[in-house]
Amino acid sequence: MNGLPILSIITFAPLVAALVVLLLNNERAIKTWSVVSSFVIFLLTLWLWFAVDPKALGPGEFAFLEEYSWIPAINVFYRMGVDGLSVPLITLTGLLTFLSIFYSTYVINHRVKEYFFLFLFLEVGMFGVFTSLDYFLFYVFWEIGLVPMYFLIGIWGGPRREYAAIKFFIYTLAGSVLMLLAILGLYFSTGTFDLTALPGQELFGGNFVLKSLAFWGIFLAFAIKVPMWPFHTWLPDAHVEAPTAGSVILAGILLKLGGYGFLRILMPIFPDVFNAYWPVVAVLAVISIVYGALVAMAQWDLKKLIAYSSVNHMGYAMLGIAAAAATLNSSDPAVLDSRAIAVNGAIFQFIAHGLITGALFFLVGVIYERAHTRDLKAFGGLGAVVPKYYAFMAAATFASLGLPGLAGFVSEFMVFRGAFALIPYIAAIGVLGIVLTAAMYLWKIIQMVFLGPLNEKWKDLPDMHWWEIATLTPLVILFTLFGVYPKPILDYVNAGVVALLDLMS
Amino acid sequence: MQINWADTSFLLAPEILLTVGALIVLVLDLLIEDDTSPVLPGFTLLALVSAFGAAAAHLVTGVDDVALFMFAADPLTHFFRLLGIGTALLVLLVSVNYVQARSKHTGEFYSLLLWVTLAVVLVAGAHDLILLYLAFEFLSITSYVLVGWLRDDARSNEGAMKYLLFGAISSALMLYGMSLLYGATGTTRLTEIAAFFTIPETQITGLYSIVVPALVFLLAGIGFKISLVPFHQWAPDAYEGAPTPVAAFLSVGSKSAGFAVLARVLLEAMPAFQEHWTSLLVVLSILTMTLGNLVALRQTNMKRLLAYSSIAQAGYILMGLAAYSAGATFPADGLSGVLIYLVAYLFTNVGVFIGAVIFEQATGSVAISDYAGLIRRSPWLAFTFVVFFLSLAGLPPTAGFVGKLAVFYATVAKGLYFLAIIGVLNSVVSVYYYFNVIRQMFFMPAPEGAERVRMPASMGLALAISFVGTLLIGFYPEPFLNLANMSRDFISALPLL
Amino acid sequence: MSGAELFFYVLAVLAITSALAMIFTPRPVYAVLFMVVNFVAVALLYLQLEAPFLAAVQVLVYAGAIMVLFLFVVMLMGPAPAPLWEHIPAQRPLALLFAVGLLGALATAIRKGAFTPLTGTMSSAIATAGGQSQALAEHLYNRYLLPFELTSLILLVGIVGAVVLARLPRQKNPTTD
Repeated sequence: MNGLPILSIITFAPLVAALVVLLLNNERAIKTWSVVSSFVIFLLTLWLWFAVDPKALGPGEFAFLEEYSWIPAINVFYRMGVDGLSVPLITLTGLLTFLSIFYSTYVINHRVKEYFFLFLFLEVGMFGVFTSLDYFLFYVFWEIGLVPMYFLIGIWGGPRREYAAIKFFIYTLAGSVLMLLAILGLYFSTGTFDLTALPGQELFGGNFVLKSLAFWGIFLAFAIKVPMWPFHTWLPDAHVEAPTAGSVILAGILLKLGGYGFLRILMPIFPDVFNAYWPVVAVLAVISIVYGALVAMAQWDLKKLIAYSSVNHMGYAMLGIAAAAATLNSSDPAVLDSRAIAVNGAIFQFIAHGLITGALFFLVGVIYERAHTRDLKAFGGLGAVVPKYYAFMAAATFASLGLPGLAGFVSEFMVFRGAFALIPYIAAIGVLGIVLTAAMYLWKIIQMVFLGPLNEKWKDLPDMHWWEIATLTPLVILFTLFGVYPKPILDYVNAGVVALLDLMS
Repeated sequence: MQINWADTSFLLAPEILLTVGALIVLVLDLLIEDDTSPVLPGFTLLALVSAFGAAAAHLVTGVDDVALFMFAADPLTHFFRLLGIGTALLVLLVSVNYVQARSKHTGEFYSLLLWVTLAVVLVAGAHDLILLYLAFEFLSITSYVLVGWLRDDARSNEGAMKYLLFGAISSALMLYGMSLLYGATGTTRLTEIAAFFTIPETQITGLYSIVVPALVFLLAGIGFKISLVPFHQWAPDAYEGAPTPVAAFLSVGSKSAGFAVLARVLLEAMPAFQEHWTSLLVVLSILTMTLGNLVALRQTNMKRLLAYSSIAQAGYILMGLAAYSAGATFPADGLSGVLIYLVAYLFTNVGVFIGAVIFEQATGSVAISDYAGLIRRSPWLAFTFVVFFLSLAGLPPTAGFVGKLAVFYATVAKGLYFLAIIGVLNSVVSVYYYFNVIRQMFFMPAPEGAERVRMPASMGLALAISFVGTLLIGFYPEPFLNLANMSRDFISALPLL
Repeated sequence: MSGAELFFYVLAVLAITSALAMIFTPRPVYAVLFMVVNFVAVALLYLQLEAPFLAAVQVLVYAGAIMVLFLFVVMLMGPAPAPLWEHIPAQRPLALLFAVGLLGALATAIRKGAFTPLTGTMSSAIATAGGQSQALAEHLYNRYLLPFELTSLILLVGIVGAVVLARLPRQKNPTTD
């Protein structure tokens, strides 16, 4: 621990920015400040990417480690650190938050001060989860993220926003509190909350029943967040009713908090239990894939379709994680290889999905702002009217269905490459999802919205504004770039994954 | 058996200050004509602050002795003294404007406030069943009067009446239980009762058949005070009818006193019967939490909502006692969880009542629907409500989270997993009705022509103190955890009789 | 059965029946008088427990002062109050059921119970103290000083409460205990 506590600075910078927002009264000033400060924060996260060399970190080692005693009476430390697993997600958070805030400045015009305060405050929670290395601190940041999202959905959301907001809050909270009991149980049996020390400790004196109870408690919290079937029912309402930028953050980052939890906490601390119960996780992942795709395909509301597609996409990531869990007890080099590939695929999927689905939700926002409807049946033939929009939407949907050359393909390929080697039969069912999503996107979105006869109502629909293009371009560039040249990302992530998996063997 | 007056005055200093203060306030009230004069509340404040100082001095210097053969001035008492007097201080700050606007009997109110604080303190330190009963009665009677204090308000009368009737029956039950206990052990002193049960010759079934009913009766009597289900029926009407500052005191102060009694009776006097009362407490806790939360879901009146919320909170606190393990490391012992929770609860619950008082004082309403658009009319008040409700629900980084953490930890450590799960799920249910109020404040538009909510200075100060306390304990709980750790000890030195 | 036991049972029955009569009688003055009977029965029980001072005080204070106060209030309140309105239809049978059940449970518990007998007799204790009032005083002002003072505070609060709740303009019942 040396020099500036850079992680604390990154985590709490949005809070400082949010407090400044409270002091400002002019709408323009608030918007300008929010954009500038979130951009600076993004640059900080980008710097973090280059400042951390994950290959230099061994198993269980973290960069920019900060450790201060916080509550000695219960052995709680304020402990932060990053590795190859968390830095990409932190940078993604910085990017998506900046783009969301930028987009929002043109779209949000009532209760501006509260909106940007809440949005910046939300960023604190997200950063905190990714940087925390103390389970107590992790939990605090995990819960902090819930409250601003509740308000964001409830105040600036769609017609059923109040219902969606409280449903989101209570559903997620229910999982979290069960996780709290598990955390307390872990502390009781090991005497520490230290996430760097818990992996490898003997828990509950080896009592498998208690370990399973704790495992399922934590599993529930993360499975609800991811979301895995059947704990996904909060997602359609929350995503659909949230304001555009809120949906972007929900899908782009908040879902990844769950996935991150699986990799950072559940797998390292409970390797034997995870290994014992891997079929459950794998089956739920595959059901998420297929069910998510089927239900998405049945939707006529564009936003709801994309929301369900998130269930489908996160299912791929969870499949990779489940495949890794299935083989935690093996030390065959080929298995180790496939395992690493599967987990790499999962994390890459986090990043890719964040970029792609983020872009998709922005695009939904674009059309909704103009047409005030998201009903797919109402559109048709827009390809000629709004060519730029068509181009962006096509790029995003192709990326989402996993077209080679775009980021979605890389992650899905890696997940299946790993999963087929480890859990072939289950993986085979999962592939079905890819076919279904292709059908879904090509038919529902591309054909119904852009091809076919033009619905006269939309004859004069304006094409994308400069600021919408500015918001989407970075995302499109990134997911194309990573699809064609994923190496820098993969190398980075891989170093982290290898260290993580080494920790467990 | 001579009384050492010097020692006694030292040990009972806070109590003496409160008594003398109350008597002087009564006399001053006769002398001062002006009902709005600041002399009376000022003097009450002085009395409370000096009592608080004396209690703090005792705590810091580690006083641990018995006064007048019956009052234990041990760390636990010091803790509850600070808690009770602290509650009274906050309630005093918020009641000055409230009381002056509603009645001419302001002097009596302030002296009654001092009396009820004295009662809380005496209950917490009572070391003998007789003193316990009398102090309990003292607390009850003073509370009846305070609840019914708004004489011209039918609901106040109704609340006081219900409280009185329930209280009378409960105290009769409690006294019966005490008499059974006396009959079984031959003594009324708590430590002697405990000692009696440890003598090997007394381990006969005959004892159990008297002590267990005694235990049940005692729990009934004390449970009434803490508003445990099914002894809670008086609470919603009493809270709704009482002047809101009084409801604030009831919800924190008299509940604390009740828990102090419960701790003393169960942990100090009857540790030998732990298997019996643990299962009873588990059941009571589950019933209380669940019923309190479920009925709160349908409330449209702020005060009734807070009443049911307080009932449910008592259920959570009880979990700490149900999970008691003597000698376990801090904070797995359960009692420290109760203490931490009570401190957190003090700031949070009094805070939310203060907010309700401010709103009621400015608008005259207690209906939740009238809180619509509060974020527009008074952003800071709305913001403090959010923090208080988050704390009541047990979300970090607030005091309520620390309290719940301590209590759940003890429950998990004891292996009462079912109780723990019910507890956390109840927290989730409670979020629904707390956030319903927040929804009104933030999502709903303010009604036409609604002005900003004015906040008198003393109420604003009380609100600020509660708010800061709630967040402070959440962010930096260490000193409060240490306080609870220090206060776990019961009387250790017993002078010979 | 010895004379003492017979005496006890007669008094116990008298106390219980007068208490029940007090509860069930519809006429307030009768209720007050039944209560006086109850107090006298309890006073006689005190006598049997060799506490003549307490018995005298019981009659003087309770029956003499407090019940007279009750009679005054009853006289001032006027005719019998309105009949009770019972919310829950099965309230009376349920109450009876629970009361009998509780009585049964308690009776079984107490019968099986092992109470701790007091060492020595009352009269010897009184003799060592030099008379019953001396014994009482010694306890009241020494060991039980704090409860004693507390009782006076309770009475004070009762008076303050009565003033607050009962003073003009509407007549409301003072808090009683």
